[in-house]
Amino acid sequence: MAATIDLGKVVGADGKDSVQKYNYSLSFPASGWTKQSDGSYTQQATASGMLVSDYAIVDVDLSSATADTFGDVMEAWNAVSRAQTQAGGLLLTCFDGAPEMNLTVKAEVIR
Amino acid sequence: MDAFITRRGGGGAPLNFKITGGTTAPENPKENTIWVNTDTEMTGWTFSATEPESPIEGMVWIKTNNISQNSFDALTKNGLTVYPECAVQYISGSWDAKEGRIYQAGNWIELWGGYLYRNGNMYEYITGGWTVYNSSAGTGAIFDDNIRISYSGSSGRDSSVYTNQKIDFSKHAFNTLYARVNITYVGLSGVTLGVTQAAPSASVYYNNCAVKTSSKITGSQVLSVDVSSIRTGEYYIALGADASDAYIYEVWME
Repeated sequence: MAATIDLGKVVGADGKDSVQKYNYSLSFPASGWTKQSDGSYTQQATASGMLVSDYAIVDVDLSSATADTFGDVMEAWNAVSRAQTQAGGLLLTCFDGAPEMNLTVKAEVIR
Repeated sequence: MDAFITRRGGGGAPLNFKITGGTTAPENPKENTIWVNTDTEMTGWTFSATEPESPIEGMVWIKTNNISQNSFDALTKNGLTVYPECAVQYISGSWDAKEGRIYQAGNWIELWGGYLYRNGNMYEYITGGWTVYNSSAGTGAIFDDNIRISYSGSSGRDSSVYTNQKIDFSKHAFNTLYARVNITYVGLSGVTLGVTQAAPSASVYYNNCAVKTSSKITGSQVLSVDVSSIRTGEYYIALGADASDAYIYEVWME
């Protein structure tokens, strides 16, 4: 079945939406991490419409990074151990220390 | 559901520690984060047992030894064990001792290079401060940039200064205790630098010191006493004047 891509949607040839894509830009401030009893750090950002069953691709926003800050941004991003979609949010977990700088995270959900 | 995280491993370093400067300890530190308490910009850092050649302004030198209790593996793989002792920073041509702490097992642990008093800096985080004790004729006092131990009278002529808290010698590898003083008058047993577990008193010479040294020579000088035999226990550091008069400028251990 032929398909077209229109405004982020994959539309079936029969005109019915078969796949939808949602893009999020989420803020994770350095001050927002909560230490858990097992020593990990967690933070959840609100992502309206996100479902716990969603599969997401997450990436750090490098649009403001420079040659001087890139290393610090990547060090902070690499502190994130796990990302989980939640009902209405994205939960990040760090098992070995939390990022020491604010992070903007891009998430793309294809449903 | 678990998400796919992009860009794993890029930009990171294989180091198993981090060094950061500033006047407040970093929040959410990782294991082996070393924080140097300084308001001078940290322009670089080095680990070394010997003084770096040609340091630049603002460089932090983490002194190392082979017995520090705060050792760590510097690399995430194929460990390179580092034994940090203390932090100093190169400011205006000299190395300034700085409060340094390392984050290990959920706690900030101090690093210390041996200074106990320096021109008004009491190193409270080590000593708890210093207090003068005077006998009836003692006139010792603490000033902005020195401590004076002295007397005025014909009896009860003891004056001393002690650290407010004991120093745990088992945590450090220092061999010698020093004091830079200016003795302006000498009488009886002179000026004594001592290490004692006894409660502070106006006399140091007669206060059951584990080790001590005394001077009956006037003038600017450095008193020194071997403390290498003290490897366990906690002790006060003290200086006392017995019918004598002295100014104290620095007390430290190496």
